[in-house]
This record gives sequence, structure tokens and C-alpha cells, in this order.
Amino acid sequence: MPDPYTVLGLALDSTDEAIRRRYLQLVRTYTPDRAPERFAAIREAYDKLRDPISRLRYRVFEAGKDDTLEAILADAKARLPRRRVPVAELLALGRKCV
Amino acid sequence: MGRAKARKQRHTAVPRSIALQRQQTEAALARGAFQRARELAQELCRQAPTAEHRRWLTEATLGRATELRAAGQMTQALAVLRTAVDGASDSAALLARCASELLLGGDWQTAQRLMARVTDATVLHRLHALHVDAVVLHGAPGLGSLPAEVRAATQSVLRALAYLAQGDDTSAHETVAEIPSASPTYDWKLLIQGLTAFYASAPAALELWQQLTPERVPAAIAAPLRAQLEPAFGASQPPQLQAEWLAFGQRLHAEPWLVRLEDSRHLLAQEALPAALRRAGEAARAMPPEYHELHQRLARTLYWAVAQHGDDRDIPAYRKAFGAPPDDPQLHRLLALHHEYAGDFAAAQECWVKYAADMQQDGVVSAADSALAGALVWLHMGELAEKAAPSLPAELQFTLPPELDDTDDCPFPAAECYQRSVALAPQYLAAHEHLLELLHTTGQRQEVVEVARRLLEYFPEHQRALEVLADDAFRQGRWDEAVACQERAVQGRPHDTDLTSRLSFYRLGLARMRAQQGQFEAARAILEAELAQETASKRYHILCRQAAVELKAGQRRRGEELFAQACQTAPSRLVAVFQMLVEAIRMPLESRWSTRLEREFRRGLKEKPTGPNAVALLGLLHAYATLGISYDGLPAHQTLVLQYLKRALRVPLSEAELQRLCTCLQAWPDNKLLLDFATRGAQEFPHQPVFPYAAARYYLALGPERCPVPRLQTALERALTLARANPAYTELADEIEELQQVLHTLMLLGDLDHHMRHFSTEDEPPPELLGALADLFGLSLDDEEEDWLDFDADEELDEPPWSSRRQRRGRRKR
Repeated sequence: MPDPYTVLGLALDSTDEAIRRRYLQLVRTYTPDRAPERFAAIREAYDKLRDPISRLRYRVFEAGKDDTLEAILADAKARLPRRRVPVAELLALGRKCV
Repeated sequence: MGRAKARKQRHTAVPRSIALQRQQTEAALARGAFQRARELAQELCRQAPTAEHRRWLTEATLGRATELRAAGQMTQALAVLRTAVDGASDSAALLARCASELLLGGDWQTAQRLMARVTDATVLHRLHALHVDAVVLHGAPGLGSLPAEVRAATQSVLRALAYLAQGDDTSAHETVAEIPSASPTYDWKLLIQGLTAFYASAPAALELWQQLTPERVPAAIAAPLRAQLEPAFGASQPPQLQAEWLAFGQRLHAEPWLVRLEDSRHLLAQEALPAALRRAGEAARAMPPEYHELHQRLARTLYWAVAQHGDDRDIPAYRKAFGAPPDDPQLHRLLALHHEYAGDFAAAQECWVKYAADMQQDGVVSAADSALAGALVWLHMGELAEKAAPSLPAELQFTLPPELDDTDDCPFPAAECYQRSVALAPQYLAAHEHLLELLHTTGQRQEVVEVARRLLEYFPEHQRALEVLADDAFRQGRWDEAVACQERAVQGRPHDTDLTSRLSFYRLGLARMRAQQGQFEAARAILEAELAQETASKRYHILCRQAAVELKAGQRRRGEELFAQACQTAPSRLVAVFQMLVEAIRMPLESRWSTRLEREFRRGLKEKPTGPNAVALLGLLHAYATLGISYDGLPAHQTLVLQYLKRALRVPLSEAELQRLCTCLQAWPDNKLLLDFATRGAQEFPHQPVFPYAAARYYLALGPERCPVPRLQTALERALTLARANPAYTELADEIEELQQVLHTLMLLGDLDHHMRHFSTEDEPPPELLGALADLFGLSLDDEEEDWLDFDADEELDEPPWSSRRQRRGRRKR
């Protein structure tokens, strides 16, 4: 799982109230029926940060432990504008594959 | 063409049999040599124009045309195809394939002529869809060949593709918006709208492309792009296609830093950590500032990769690539984690101490969190110390070989770490609990009580701490306090039978104390309340207590009535007499009562033993031993009951009785009776894990000097196998496994210790060390280990078991 602060879009020094407000805001947007995976990630992140002790334990012992290069690459690609593939090339791909 | 003619002449020069030609044709078709197969099939059709030979010719022609089309030789492909059209076999599949090839080649008229011969509706539907696909691939010239009802929609698709080529995604999206889902052009709508979403990085792209018909051209076009969004889809393709799509994906994102990041991922997957660090460092340096958050994530991910898989050289390499992270400015935590993953807990502790200092000095955490962060680190260090030297339960401590009394090689023992953690953040519950459990496990009773008192200052209703205090008060005879503490503990878990039965026991003790103080009404009220809650079969012990209270109060008749009731409800009079005798001594009653009861008890014990009596008498003694109760005459009673049990070995006993006896006898694990009953139980009920386990407890109790280690191991293995086979014994199985682990570790440490002491005089590892390693990994080297029951405790064992094992292995080596 990526960093819970990243999932919730929060700074490391966020307060209890800020974390809770952000969580409620996100779960209203990403409801379980519309975005079940995103919702689960938000819940998991919130569980790690909701309690000051578990939050501190996360920061001292686990920060970034479950992140992966795959996830970072996927996020990077999602944020980068994609190069356009020429239509002729796409059609050539179609001709080649059938 | 000249070569083909020459080949034709060569092949036709020598007349061949039809059978041989058929064989050759089939072989050529099978290996995909379509040109050769076509020549042979043509020859066959000339000589014998059967339906099968025509089919072969059509197949070979189609195969050749596909080859030519794939090579871009469209005109030649169509020329070849047209030769097959007139003589084409009537097989629906071949007709459809032929029509498909013609459509893809753009020969609409011939294709439509063939399609007219297709009667299967499903095949025809597919051909119409392919017709649309082929027209889109060829562009406007093919539009006229389409049926009027799809012509307009196909024209929209062509217009939308033109908009896409110009970069006008909005117009492309809108142009195909009206195409209905029943139209054969619907897949093209999905492709085009998916492309516009893909370029806008919208999640809709994947949803749209997942709806595409797999055998249609739009699905083939979308596939490499879909694989970028859905890794599982890409991974399900053949490796060659995966590689092609990966290259395609890299062209979509050609930023140099992303390529380096991709390289780093590959290198990490191949466990080439130094190279992965270098590439990731290059990627991080080239990353634009707006990707600062990705930079941090990358640094942290590699941080953990170094901690888990790196070696000492990777830490400076990490520092060079990323610098020290703000939350570990000296990289002491990285080093600590690295040692932890390598299993060097002592070195890890040293680094954690330095990290705790860094946190204070470098402001890694805010001042408000500083103490708690320190407490967390010290708690973690305590856990490491426990991993390095598992804390043995008090009852197993005597199994340690004398030279291994102090195996703790961590600079900070677990108890000290937990104490420091509590001192830093007394509001942090986990530190208290760890300390409490550690001291409880190791049997440090006084320290446990102190820790429990301190814990209750911060967490007043902590159930475990209340239990500890209740137990302590009971042991000191402060029954009021014991009951009060236990009642508070029960409030937290009212359905916990262990807690409630303890509470009941304390209340019974309180009733006795009230009677001793002359408060008979209070004692009666407590006992009445307990009697109402007790099950019928166990009421006799409360009735005995009530009888004792009445006798103490001078109500002789009532006392005797109650005792008579107790005798009726007890498993036997002997059991009731024993319970009453204990109450008469503990109350105490007038000596004539105890003398009379003692006489009757001894007389009863001389009679022929029975299983229920043996179980009930031993059960009472077991309860006293477990709870730490003592009274005048207990040792003598214990001896008498154990003698009675010895005689009970010869009477019939049920499985449950044997099991109960073995469980209770573990309160005196070094008594040979435990092994005797375990042996009998194992012989009569070989499926029951309790018996080999009881035997193991006996062997263990003999201590390091006398324990027959091979028999102990075999008994434990047997017990574990039986317990694992029966779901009712899951807890026992876990307990046995834990015990095995501790024993293996101790034995290995013992042998290592011995080896290290003589290292300078020996060139090779001694066989006993190899033996210990074999034991640790479950390799059986001893042939005689199966006879775990055949053991005489009185046999002379001059050498400690570790030495015995060495001697035996030495013998085998010779």
C-alpha cells in the first residue's frame, strides 16, 4: 500500500481533526459502490493514521515500507501527459493483428 | 516465378503415387509450408479431384494468401485468393475464412459473392462486422460496398478517426456519440471514445476497452494501450507480445527519468540492488520539481529495499543516491533495520539506541511526540531482545544447561527495554503490557505486582493487572481485596469462565475468613450465593464448606446434615470426606473432627481404587497445587493420594479418566506416575496426543542432567502429529510447537557453546554440532529414538543428555 499520507493527500504534521476531515471528504467522493478499491485504500490509510500512537508508530517503523516501484511508476504514468499514437499507426496495428 | 516453374518441373518429373502425394500434402499443411502444400494439392486435384483434395487446396491457398498479406503483398495475396474462390470447398468455415481474407484485402465484390454462399447466421454476422472493420482500415473507397444501414455510421467512424489524427478529441468523441450498441460499428465507437479518455488520463478508457469484442479489429488496436492501464491483461498475453507491448508503452512515456525508473524496477526484480540504486538515483535527480512527492516515495521505497535486501555497501550507495531522509538524518534507523532483517538483534539494538538519540537531537518528531517516539523505540528493542533470547516460562527454566543460564546477548535485556519504555511514556499501554507479560512468564511475582499497580494508575480497569493484584492478594490471605479486584476484572469480560471460576474460588475463601472472624451470617450468604450458581455434580465441595461454617458456629446438627448431603452428591464418600477434612483443617474445627475425618480418609484410601475416586482426589490436590494453597498435612495427603494412584494403575480406567489423571499429574511432572499413566494411556488409546505430551513433560522435568533428549523429541513429535490430526487439539499443537522451538534453540546453543570452547583445538565441526543442526531442521539421525515409552527413570544417566547424544553419534560414526 502506498504511503497513507499520500493516499489521503495530507502533510506529515496533519492534526487529528485534519485527518478526520480529509477522510470524510474522500469517502464521500469515493463511495464503496463507485470506487471500491479506492475506498478500501482510503479506509486502510485512515486506520493507520487515526490514532496518534499508531500514526507515530507508522512514522517511526513503517513509513514507505509497503510502497513499490510498480505503484510509483503507475502513478507517474497516470500523471504524465501521454504521447499520442498516430492514427495511421493504430490502423496499421489493426491490419497486422487480424 | 522462374524458380517456382523449375520446382514444379522437378516435382512433376518423377511420377509419384497418389498416396505419397497425399502424405506430402498433409505434412506441408501441418508445418505451415503453404506454397508447397498448394502445389501438391493442385497436382492432387488434377489427378483425383475429390472433395478432400479440394479442401486441402483451399486451405493451402488461404494460408498462402494470409502469408502474403502479412508480408504486405496485398495484390499477390488477392490474386492467389481469387484462384481459390471458384473451386472453393463448400465448408462454411473455409468459405468464411476465404471471405474474411478477401475483405481484409479489400476485394469487396468477390468477398460479397462468397458471403452470399454462407448460410450460417452467426458466421454471416461475424463477416458483416469484419466487413465494417476492413472498410475502416481501407478508408473511404470501401464505403460503397457496405449495406446502406451501416454506411452512415462507418462514415462517422472514419470522420472521428480523422479528427483524432488532427488532435481534435472533442469532435472525435462527439462524432461517434450517436452510434447505438447494436450497430457493427459500436466497437469502433468504444475504441475512439476510449482513445480520447486515454489521452486525457481519464479512467473511462479502461472501462470502454474492456467492453470490446476480442476478435474484432478495434480490440486488437486497443490491446497494447489497454495493457498500460491493466497490468493483469498484459500479463495474460504470450511473452513475445508482452515484450512488444512493453516497448509500445515506453514510447508513450519517453521521459528519460521514467525510463530510468523502469530500468530500476527491472534491476530490483533481478535483485541487482546496487545497479537499481544507481538508476533510481539518476531518475530521482532528473525528476521535475512538480513530482517532488514521487521523489520522496521513491527514496523511501529504495530505503526499505536496502533495509531488507541490501548489504553494508548499499547504505553508503543509498546515501549517495538519495541523501539521508529527514526522519533518519544519520541513517541509524536504516542500519538498525538492516541488522534486524539480517537477524543480528544485538547490533540492531545498538543502532536503535543511536536512532532514539537522533530523534531527540535532530527534531525528527515534534517535541510533543518525542517521549512517545522514544517509548516506541525502546519497546521495539525489548521485542528484539526477546527474539534474540526467548524468555523461558518459569516451569521450563530448569531445562537450561548450566552454561547457558545467561544467553541474552543483546546489550539491553527485554525487561530493561520495557521499563525504559514505560518510564518515557507511562500513558502508553503496550509497554506496560509487554513488561507485565514478560515478568509473569518468567515467574517474577513481586515485580509483576509492582508493574500491575503502576499500570492501574494509568489504566484503572485493566483486566490483566486486576487479575494479577487479585492473585497476589489471595496469596497474601487478603481475601476481601482479592474478591474486589477479581470482580472488577470480571466486569470487563463477564463470560470468561477462567475469570469467573477464580472469582468464585476467592469468594469461598472470603466466606471461610468471615466464619473465622465470627461473621457467620456473612459467610452463609456468600456460600448460599455460590451454591446457587454451582452445577449439581460440584455442589458437594460448597456443601462441605457450609458444613464447616455451621460446625464452627456451633450448629452441629445442621453441620452434620450438610456433610451428609455433601456425601450424597459427591462422586463417592471418600471424596467428600477428603474435602471436609481439608475444610476442617483450614477452618480450623475442633480437633476431634479432623481426627475422625483423617481416620476415615485413610481407611477409605486402603480400599480398592476406582477411576472416579482417583480422578476426584487428584483433581483436588491439583487445584491446591495450581492455586498455591497449602495447609497442615498437605504433603502427607499428597503422598497418600499418589500411593492410591499407583494402585489405580492396575484397575480399568476410561480414556477420559486417564487423560484427566495425566493432565493433573503434570502439577508434579517429575513423579514417575506421570510417565506410567502416560505409557498406559498411549498403549490403550494410541490416537490421543495428551499421553505422549505428558510423557514429554515428565522427561523435561528431569532437568538437563537426566532428560533423555531423543525420547523427549520423539514423544513431542508423536504428540504434535496426533494433535495436528485432531482439530480439538489445535491449542495443544501450538503449545508443543512452541516448546519444540525453544528446545531446538537451546540444544543448538548448547552445542554451539561447546564447539566454540574447543574451537582452537578442532579443525572440523564436531559431529554433535552437525547433529544439533539436523535436529533443528528436523532430520532424524537416531535409529533408536522411536522407543520413547521404553524408559526407566531410575536408570543411571551419568552424562547430561547433550553429552549422551554426542557419545551415541560418536559410536555411530565409528
